[in-house]
Amino acid sequence: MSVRARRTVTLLVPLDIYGDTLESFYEELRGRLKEQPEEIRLDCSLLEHATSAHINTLWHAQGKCEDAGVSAKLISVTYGLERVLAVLDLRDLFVVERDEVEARAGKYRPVRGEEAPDALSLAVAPTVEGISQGMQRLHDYLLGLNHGEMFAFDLETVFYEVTTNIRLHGDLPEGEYISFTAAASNGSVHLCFEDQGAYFDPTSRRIDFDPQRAINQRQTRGFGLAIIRKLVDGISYERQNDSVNILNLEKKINRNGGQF
Amino acid sequence: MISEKRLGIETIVLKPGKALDNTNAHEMTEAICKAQGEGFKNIILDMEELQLLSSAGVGSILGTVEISRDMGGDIVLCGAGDKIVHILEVLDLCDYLTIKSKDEVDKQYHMQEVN
Repeated sequence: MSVRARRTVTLLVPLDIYGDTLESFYEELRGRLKEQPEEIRLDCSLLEHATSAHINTLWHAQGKCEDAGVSAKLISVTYGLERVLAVLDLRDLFVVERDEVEARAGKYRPVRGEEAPDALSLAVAPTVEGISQGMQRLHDYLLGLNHGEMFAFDLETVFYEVTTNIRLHGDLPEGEYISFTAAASNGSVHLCFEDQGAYFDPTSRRIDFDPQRAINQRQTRGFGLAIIRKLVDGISYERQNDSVNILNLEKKINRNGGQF
Repeated sequence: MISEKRLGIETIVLKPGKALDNTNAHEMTEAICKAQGEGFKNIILDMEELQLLSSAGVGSILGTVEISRDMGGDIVLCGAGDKIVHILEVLDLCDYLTIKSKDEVDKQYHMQEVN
C-alpha cells in the first residue's frame, strides 16, 4: 500500500485585499485545500501595515483551512501585524510560527476578549497634509467606537501633537512614514506610534506645567507634552534597535482627561 | 490666515479660523505683537469657528498675554466651543486666561459682529 506524503503549502497573503487580488488569494487557497496538504502556511511578510481588514482575511483563511481539516499557521509575521494582533488580544486565535518577531512582541500579554474590537492602522506621511488625513481617519474610527465626541477629540489632539512633534523634530529619513495603530481593548483605547526618527523619550521628561509661570515668562513652546500627558492615562516608550521610536499611549474609556 | 477687525483705537478682533496650530500659530503671535505695537490694549481672539487648538496655538496666547496686561488690557478668548475650552481646562488655564462668550464680549466691547 502506498502512502501519499502530505505536504506543507505556503501562500503569500496579499497586502492589497480589495477586489480581484483578495479573490485570487481565496481561489488559490481553495485549490490548495483540495490537495489536502498537512499544513497551510500563510506568509504574512507583506503585512507591515496591517489593518483590521487583513486580520479578517487571515481569520477567514484560517477558517477555510479548519473547515477542510487542514491546519493553518501564520509565518513571517511582521512587527506591524504582530502588534495589531497583540493590541487586539487576538494572538491566541492564530497559530503563529515562533520566530524573532514573536519573541520581540513577548511584552504583550494576549488576553482574548469575547468580542474582538476593530483596529485602525495607518502609515502617516510626516507632512501637514498627511497628519491632517490621519486625523480624519482617526476621527472616523473613534466615532465608530461610540465613546463620545470629547473622547475622540482628546485622542485626535494627542495624535496631532505626537505626529507634529515627529514631523518638526524627528528628523525622519527621506520617504519614511510614521506607523500608527489605534485599537480598543480591555476598557481602553491604545495608540501606538512608531518612527525611525531621532531618539526622543517623552517619558523621561518631568512635566511640571505652571500656567502662571508660563504667562510670566512669556513661554511660547513646550506645551505639547503637557497636553499629551494630561489627555491620556498611560504612556510608555521604547527605543528599538537604536533606530525606531515606539510610543504607546493608553486612554481609559469613560474617563475624559486625566493626569497620571 | 489670521483676519482682523479693528474696533476703535483700543480693541482689535483677531480670528484664526478653524485651527490655531503649528501652521498658523506664528502668524497669530505676529498679529498679536503687531496689534500690541500699534497700541491695541484689548485683543479679542474670535474662536467661534475654532476646532483645533494645538500646543503651538496655546503658546501663541500664553507668550503674548502678559504684554497686553502690562498695557492695562487683556487678550480675551471669545466664543470658544466646548472642545477648545476643554483643552484649556486640562492645562488648568481657565483661571489664568480671560474666556468669554460672544454675548459677553458684544456687551463689553460693543461689537456688533465679529467677522
